[in-house]
Amino acid sequence: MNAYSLKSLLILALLLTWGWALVEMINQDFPLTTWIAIMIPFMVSSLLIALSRELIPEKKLRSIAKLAQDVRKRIDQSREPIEEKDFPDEIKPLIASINKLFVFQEDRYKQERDFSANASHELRTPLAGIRLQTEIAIKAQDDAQRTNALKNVMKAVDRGTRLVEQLLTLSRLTAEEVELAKEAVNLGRVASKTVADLNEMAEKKNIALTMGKWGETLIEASEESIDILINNLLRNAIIYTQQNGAIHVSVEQGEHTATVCVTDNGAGIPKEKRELVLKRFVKAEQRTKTGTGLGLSIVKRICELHQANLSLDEGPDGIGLKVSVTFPRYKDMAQAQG
Amino acid sequence: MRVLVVEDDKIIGDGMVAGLQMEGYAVDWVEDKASADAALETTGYDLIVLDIGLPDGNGMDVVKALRQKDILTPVLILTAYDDVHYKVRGLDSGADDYLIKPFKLEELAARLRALHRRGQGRASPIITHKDVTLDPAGKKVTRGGESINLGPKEFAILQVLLERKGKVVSKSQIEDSLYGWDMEVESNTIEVHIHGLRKKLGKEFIHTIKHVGYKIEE
Repeated sequence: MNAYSLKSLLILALLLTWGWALVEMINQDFPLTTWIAIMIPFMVSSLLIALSRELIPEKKLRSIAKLAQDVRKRIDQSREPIEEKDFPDEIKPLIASINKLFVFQEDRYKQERDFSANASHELRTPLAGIRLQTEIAIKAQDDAQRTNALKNVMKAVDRGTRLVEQLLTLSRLTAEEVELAKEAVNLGRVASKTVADLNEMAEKKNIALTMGKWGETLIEASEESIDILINNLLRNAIIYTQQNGAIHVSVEQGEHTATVCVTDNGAGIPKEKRELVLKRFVKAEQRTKTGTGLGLSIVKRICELHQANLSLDEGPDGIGLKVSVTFPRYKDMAQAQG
Repeated sequence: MRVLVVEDDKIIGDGMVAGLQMEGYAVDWVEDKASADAALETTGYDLIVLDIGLPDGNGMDVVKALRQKDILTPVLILTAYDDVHYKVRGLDSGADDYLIKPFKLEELAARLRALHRRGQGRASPIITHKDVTLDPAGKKVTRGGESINLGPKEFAILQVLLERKGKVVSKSQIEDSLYGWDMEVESNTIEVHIHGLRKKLGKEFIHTIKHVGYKIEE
């Protein structure tokens, strides 16, 4: 029997005694003053017992106070897990949960710190370019040099802008509660629009950018996110494919799924690196400074928000990279919902 | 004075080349570690500006390899990480100074001058010989207190000769410190500039060592 039930039993016994005395007193016509005189000690003792801490063993109370202190300490300074062994069994599950919360918090904190460190590092590069080339433009000895410097300033500004856009997209998508307005989106139509948008970028490298036949392929999605997703996949393909290369975009339907694939004949990504490139600020090749290192992290996050499956494989004949994103089809989702 | 710039970002690399050329340096620019190692094998540099994050490796390895070969050329590293850890590791790997991106051209130039001066074992920023002074920062030369107008190449040649006072400097050594890879060198340019210098500083200031080179007597 634990302290709490013992305490309740005592209170119950007291109440019963009190009730019995009350009945007796009414029967025997006691005057009110006597009535009060007898009742007061009963009431006071019931109250005292109800408020008493004595019945919860002192040791357990102290351990709760210690736990509170331990938690406070971890908020202020160290983040080590609280040791369970010093505590009574009843409190152990609470400690386990608190420790879990600490780990979660610490992970988030670390992620945020790494993110801002990386973001500021990535931003310094275009800023350094702008600063330097502007100085050159000011000091330039002839028009050709000035024009060249200003063109470089523009390039660096563009790169910085793209980086900031990507950072914003990613932080918007990773906010704790993302609510995407989802509607029926035709995957083929979004893909073909993106292909048209990026055609110029591909032409600059003389890359043949083609798209396969597509029909009405409906998925339940946020159109803006799908646009961002395909845009990122295509940009990556263009950046990592050599001059005169080829990129093919296809949209296909399965029984319950709709898949968009971007296949290039570029350098590909070695198998062991495929998991890694999904992380923020990791580029498949450091050589290309054009990329922000955020594209695939954004893609991955959009997939998560759409219950879509992302896979990175080799292209046909083991050449290049094939990125596929498979969504559940719109009608299936509608049925599932009821 | 010849500088090797190792920087993989095209915009920053291009800017440094233009900026350092304006400061009178002969600049060679490479974009990766392998080319940096190759350049250092074949060319003698007075200074090296080195980005840490290179596509095919770490810039610090370039410095380490250099120091292992006992080459003392001053190295300034560039980093985009404003983190003590990176600065410490860079300096400990054998670099002499560092700059964090973004930086001012002015500061890069000043740090390079300081590194070069220390490398030469000079305390004073101004080089003095007889009644002639040369100020590398202000790009000024005086003779007997009077300011003398020198062309940029004349100035550079005078600095090379003054820094190696008492030693014979060959014509090709002078050319190496004046011209980067992509610059055309005409066969008699050095003679023309030496002639100009003599006119302004006096016939005896620079001696010709026949078939070898030039020398300023100690």
